[in-house]
Amino acid sequence: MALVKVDNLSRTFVTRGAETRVFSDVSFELETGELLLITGRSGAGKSTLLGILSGLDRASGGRVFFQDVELTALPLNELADLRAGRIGMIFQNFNLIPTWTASENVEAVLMHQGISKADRQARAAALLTDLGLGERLHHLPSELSVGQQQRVAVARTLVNEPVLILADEPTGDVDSETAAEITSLLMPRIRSGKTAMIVASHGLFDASLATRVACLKDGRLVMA
Amino acid sequence: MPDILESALRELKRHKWQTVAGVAGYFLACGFMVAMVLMLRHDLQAKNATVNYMGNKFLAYAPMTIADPASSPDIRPLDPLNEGFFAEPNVSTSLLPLAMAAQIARIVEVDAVTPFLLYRLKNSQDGHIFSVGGVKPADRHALRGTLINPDDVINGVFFRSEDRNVVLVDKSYADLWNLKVGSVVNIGGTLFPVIGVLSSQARVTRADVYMNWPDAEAALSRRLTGPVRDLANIFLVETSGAETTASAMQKVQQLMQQGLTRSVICSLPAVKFLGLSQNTLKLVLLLLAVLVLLISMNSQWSSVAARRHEIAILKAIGWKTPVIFGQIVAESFLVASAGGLSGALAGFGVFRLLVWQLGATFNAAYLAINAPLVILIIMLLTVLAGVAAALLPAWRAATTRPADVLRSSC
Repeated sequence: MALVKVDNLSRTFVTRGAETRVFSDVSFELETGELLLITGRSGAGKSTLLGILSGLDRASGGRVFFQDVELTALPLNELADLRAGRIGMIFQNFNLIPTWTASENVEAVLMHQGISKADRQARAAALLTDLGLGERLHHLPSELSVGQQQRVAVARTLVNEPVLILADEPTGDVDSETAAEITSLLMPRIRSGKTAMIVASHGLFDASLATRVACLKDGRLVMA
Repeated sequence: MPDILESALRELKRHKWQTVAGVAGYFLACGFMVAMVLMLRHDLQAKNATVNYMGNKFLAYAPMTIADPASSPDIRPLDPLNEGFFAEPNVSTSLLPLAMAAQIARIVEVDAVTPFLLYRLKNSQDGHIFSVGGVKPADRHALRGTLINPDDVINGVFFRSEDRNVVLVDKSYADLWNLKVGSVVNIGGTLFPVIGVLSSQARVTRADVYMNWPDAEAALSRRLTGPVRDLANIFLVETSGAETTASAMQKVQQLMQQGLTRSVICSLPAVKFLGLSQNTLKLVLLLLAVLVLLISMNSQWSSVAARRHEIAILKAIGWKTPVIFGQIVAESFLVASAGGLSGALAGFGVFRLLVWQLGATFNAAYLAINAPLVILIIMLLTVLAGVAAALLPAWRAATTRPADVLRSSC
């Protein structure tokens, strides 16, 4: 059973009556322990594809299965449950909440899930400490370096131990040293076989880390 | 739910100046409303009490006209130049059937009615003019507010229905002619001992001397061309309230149409003004409530717009639509509650200060029941307005599409 199965997925935007096809006939499967790197130029539809896989966006056609559950047919609240529990997301520009501390940004994922405040705080603190931010728990994102901010974003993704990580240009805005640091945080989880990851990048991610590489070009996903 | 409140509280603390501004807005609105409503309600109640005291009483009579054939032609004063039935100083009246009292009593708005015989009389000894009033002491309820009652007695005693050949005198008349309890008054050649001196307060009419009904009928009959039997020249009417007086007067006038009746009341403009004031108060409060609602909504809308990116992130990491909606509403609820509670207390303080400044007095019941009730109602309305104002912005926040927001922010 594939962790993710994408079947003839397509996405079309309609703007002022004009249809713009982003991609179509996208199909692939992903197993746990795999890292699929999707490359392509800016505007090729990589982020849109990740948006559909995470349930943030809706497909125009085709189906997505996650652990045999058809994501494309799930209501919004159940998709939110999946994102809160089994699917983690890393955004290109971190998307940390600027007025929340590092710890609160990580805890946010655990809120409204019946987890006590003390437990939430303990889990966030433990993970951030593991990632070398034990002294920065109560710092705002603006008080952290870019690398530290990205580590907080990674911690937010990992705190729920997701089985699928969707990363949109995770190393896009950071220097090579920080990029290496981020990948070093994520790769052990993938290699342990507990997690799969799909990375969308236009070339800044180290392709040698990927188990498979696909290119989104002219609206088609081509496996390398 | 506790998570939502916790998140809401945390957000309010994070945006503390915005929160302070929001609380201050509700504080001012609620405080102003409480102080204003308490003062105006008190003012209206005071006016209402005054108007109700006089405004629910009137006298009905049929003015006598020369061309009026129905004006008891058989019963005329022996001395028409100096004597006669009257209602007001320059208004002579006709006699009406006593049975009309029962007809008036059947009018829904009428609370009580009693007949009255008011006659201007010339003293046979020194020729001074004075007025005699015939009353039915058994109609105690109707007499109490319209004419005289036992509480008005400052010397002696009040009538009993079975008392005969005795009179009560008004204090001003007693002072003028040095009358005391035990003095006698000459009415139509008969001497009546004074059993009480009255000091009646503001009433719809008055007489110098009051007699029991049968005595008045007998004494006045001696000054007329015919006997007064089952007739009255005035009906003293009390209605259920100042607001119903106009309607009651209209119905009494319809009832008395044959005699060209007139009803007299001085407080109708006051009643109308009171209604106007009450309506103005309601309109001002409604306007204020709408303004509070719109301003709160605008504030919440701006807050949600400013946090759109943050809300999109929360949705992206798994926060559900009802949680986002609940949090925005909870934030508004907390701000409105804090502002409403503190504003209501401050408004009450301002009210007390104004009361102290004006030297006004309030009864304990008003302060113990009315004021807390007003405060509670306004506070609840403020909180409700806060919640209502948050619904649309909360819906906007809850329906934020994270994919759109996060994509556009990249």
